[in-house]
Amino acid sequence: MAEEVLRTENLVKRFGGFAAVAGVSITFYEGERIGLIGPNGAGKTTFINLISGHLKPDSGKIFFKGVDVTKAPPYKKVMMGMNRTFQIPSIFKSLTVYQNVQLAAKKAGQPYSVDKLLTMLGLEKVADVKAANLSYGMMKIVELAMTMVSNPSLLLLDEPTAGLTSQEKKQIIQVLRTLPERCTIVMVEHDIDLVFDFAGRVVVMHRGEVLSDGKPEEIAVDTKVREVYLG
Amino acid sequence: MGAVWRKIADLLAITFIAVGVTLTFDTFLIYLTTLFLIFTIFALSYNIILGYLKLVSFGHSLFFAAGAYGVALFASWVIPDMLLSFLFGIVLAAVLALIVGYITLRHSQIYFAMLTLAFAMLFYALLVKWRDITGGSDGISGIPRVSTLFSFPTTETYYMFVLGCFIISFIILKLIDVSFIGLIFRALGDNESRFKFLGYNPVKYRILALVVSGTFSGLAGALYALLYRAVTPDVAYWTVAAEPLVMSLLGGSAYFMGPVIGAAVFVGLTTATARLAEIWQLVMGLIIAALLLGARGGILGVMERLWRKRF
Repeated sequence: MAEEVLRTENLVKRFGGFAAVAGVSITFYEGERIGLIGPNGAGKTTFINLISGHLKPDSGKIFFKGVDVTKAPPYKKVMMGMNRTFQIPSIFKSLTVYQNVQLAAKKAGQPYSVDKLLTMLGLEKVADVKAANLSYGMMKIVELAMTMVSNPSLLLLDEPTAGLTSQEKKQIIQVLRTLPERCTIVMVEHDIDLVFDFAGRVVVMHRGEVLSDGKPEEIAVDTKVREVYLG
Repeated sequence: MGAVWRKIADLLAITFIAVGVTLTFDTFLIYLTTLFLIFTIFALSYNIILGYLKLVSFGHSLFFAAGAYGVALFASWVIPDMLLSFLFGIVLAAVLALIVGYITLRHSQIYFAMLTLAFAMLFYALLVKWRDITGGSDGISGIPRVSTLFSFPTTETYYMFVLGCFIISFIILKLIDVSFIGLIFRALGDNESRFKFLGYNPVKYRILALVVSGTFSGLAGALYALLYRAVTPDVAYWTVAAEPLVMSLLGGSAYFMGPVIGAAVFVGLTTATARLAEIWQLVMGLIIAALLLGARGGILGVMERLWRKRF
């Protein structure tokens, strides 16, 4: 069995009376490619926000590489090897693409060189362009580059291909495939075909809870999942 | 070689003008340029917080006054030596910036602005009420401009000291602007969330920025006290912090040279309209309103837009 990377114990987050995440206990292992799916409002993004430290849980615990990180601020988790992207790409819009990636690389101790990474992702032509002037798809690629540069052991991707053209989607997937095998990737995604193609494990959330968890082919025939999605 | 010249062209231009001023032997003009240089240091240091971190501080009157009162208190209570009291003023401002930063910079935006305001008012009250030490509302006068190695008895000679301090400050602040730490500050002001998710600690870098900013504000305050050879609690009143804010916005807070241009216009305008009693406040009010309504990038922002339209 591969080594455990992340474990949550009975994780709960309420917004007023509404439990967005209602007691999730789950374990992710090294090198897993996980697709996190579920209808709108299922709590997928909230779950990602809790793990990454963007939100504080009301109760429950989070262990990263065996260390209790429930109360750790985001920057500490990043230094431990966790990173994430956002639904709306979160980059430094007033800086150039090069500066964006440079800031990430310096902090990470530069396992990649900035120029090499930019070339690898086809960003070398826009290196000196202000990030605010990029297309939406390009912003997503830049954000991904910034999270990759630290060589994370856990990468959380919140709808990495939403709002992209099919060409750009292909590019993102190509980039993700270049990540080292031992990196665990959790991807929240609405494009089911893409998830079933990319993920080796699919987790379905519904009303803040894990409804189903298994291999893509098992999920595809799961009657509970079909009910949630179809009616 | 050409690139190097271009990089220091702004400093050379200011130094050239500043030295040229001395050749006029016009005491009033030299006095005005002294004020401009002091306020430029103040505004440049303020813009580290406003321009890079995108935070509004009302606490910079505290750092400015700490520099000014640091000089006055050290000279009148410890050793009446200009250099030592000057250095004490700067260190006092730096220490206070560290303390204020540590307490306030965990809070963001409006809370930071209000907390710095509270500290500024506290410091003002302390200076007014602690009469035995600070001289109360009369302040402290007779600050010496004499040290063991040098003395600056006249406005003209003191001007050279201010110019020297200005050049050193300008170079340091410019180096910060073009270095990686400047990039880190700008990144933090741009997107705190991504900043954190790259592994940077935002509180640490905000405190660092405030200490740098407060230190140079203190230096400006120390120079200010030595110019008049006296201080009163007026330098600590919170509206003093609004002056570098206005200067930065006036020149364009997104540009390194913005505060410099802003300080020049500010000193020029206040002097030109000062004879008409309170009218300078009216002028200033109109300018600020015009800036915020029509020209948010300040003077340099407007110039850049006009430049782009031409080509």
